[in-house]
Amino acid sequence: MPKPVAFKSNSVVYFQGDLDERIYILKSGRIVLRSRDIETGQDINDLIQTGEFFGVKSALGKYPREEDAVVLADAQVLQFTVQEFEQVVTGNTRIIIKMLKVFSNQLRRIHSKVSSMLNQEDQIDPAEGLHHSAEFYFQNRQYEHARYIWQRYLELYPNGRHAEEARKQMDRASQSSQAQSTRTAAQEASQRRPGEDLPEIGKLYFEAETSFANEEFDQAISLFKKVIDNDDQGEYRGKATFQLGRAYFENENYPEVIRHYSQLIKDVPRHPQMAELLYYIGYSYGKSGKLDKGKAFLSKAKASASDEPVLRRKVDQAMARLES
Amino acid sequence: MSGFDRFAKQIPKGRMIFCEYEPGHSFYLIQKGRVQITKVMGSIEKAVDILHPGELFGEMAILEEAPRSASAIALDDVTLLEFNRENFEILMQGNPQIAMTLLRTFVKRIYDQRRRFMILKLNDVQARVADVFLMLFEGMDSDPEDKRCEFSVTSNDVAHWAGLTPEQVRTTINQLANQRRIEVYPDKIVVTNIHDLQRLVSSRRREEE
Repeated sequence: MPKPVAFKSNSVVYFQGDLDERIYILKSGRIVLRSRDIETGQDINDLIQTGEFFGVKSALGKYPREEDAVVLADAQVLQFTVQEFEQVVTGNTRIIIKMLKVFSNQLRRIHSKVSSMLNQEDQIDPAEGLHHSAEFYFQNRQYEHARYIWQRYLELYPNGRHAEEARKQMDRASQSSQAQSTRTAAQEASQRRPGEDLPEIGKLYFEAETSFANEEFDQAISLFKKVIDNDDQGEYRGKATFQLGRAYFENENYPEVIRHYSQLIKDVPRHPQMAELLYYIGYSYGKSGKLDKGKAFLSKAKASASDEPVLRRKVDQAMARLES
Repeated sequence: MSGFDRFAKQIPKGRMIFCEYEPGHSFYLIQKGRVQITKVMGSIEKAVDILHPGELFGEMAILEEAPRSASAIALDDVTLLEFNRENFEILMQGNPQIAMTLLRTFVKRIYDQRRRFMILKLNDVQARVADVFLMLFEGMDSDPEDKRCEFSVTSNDVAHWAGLTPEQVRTTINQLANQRRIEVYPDKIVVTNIHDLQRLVSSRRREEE
């Protein structure tokens, strides 16, 4: 339940730099958000309107407060946890739409500031970029991609520098693509596909993902393990470690799920997919007949999944099954 | 969700959904299948990410006329929910959870852009390069007690973030390496003491203010 809180004049609701996940709505009184413009360094004072939410961005994004919230005249506020906030706003989508509009304006403003500061020479002309991509895919015999890009090029730049070439190449790409699609399935399998030009480890991860999607879990397990063992740069290791657990889970190897994900939590105590890890562990304990442990992990999963409605439903279902 | 079927889009496996550099007017929510995000860099195709059902992509399209920053390719037969200016409010009203996901995505993007702005605002080239490592460090799940940090980035990646030319970055990285602040390997850059870079950046930032 949102909690009513009173603040005296001249007190502070929160300071810039604070890490805290509470969201507020102003009921009465006067509160101002004080910050400095990141571009000009000028002071910004934003007076909160009665009925307005504040503290939303840093709470949802889990990053430090970007302003001081200073009370100018005795104020009453309602204090929400992120979960309570979510319950309220999902019941009234108009509020979210209003916020989306405000945030998308902010995003547009900061994005254009960033773009204007970037060295113009750094930016590739989009027409040249498209042309280069089309050529790349054509040379790599991914004719459908090449055809798509040249078609877009012609739609966007009918009189562009490469328009003539695009027309010719589009025909060639179409012909090559048809020829390619008439080949046998076996040949197709050996054709180049997305990921072909990745470094070896990327290809391996890609193969593992494909096995997983095709429900060949034994194969996926062995490939994800290979990725973990050989990924010297660590680019794919995190993803592979997570997916390995999911492959054990799909394979119904529950003791292995518990062992693997418990280790992962130990290694990465602030794992971004913590709620999911806890869910899989809880579910697996339940399946192994350890109902109490299962329930304990599922409750933790639910508490961590405040912003993941799909997962929360899955947790509820698993919990209901355990209780029955 | 069935009422929104008219906004659903089926993409066969292997098909390109959009290409890097084309202007974007829509963004997508994956309902079924996986989508690969890739970038062509010179003569190689770099896989940036593989996205699963429930994930959004292309949301920067709300920024008018901004060219796509990467390509999206269907890895399986894919079903997407396509959002644009026209259907945006209808879709959001019926799907508060999607609206919530989008809200979180925007919050994150605003933060990332502000962070990048802070880097670009630094005049001192060395501090800018150092601040790119700090930004990458903040995004990592590492122990704050650890001083030594490995980054699997190239000087071109750093140049992109810092808004500098690759030559400027290479020169600066060599200076930092000579000062023993970083170690350069073919496939990674190691910062020997991340706190040292934090001090360097905050003192430069104070001087420039």
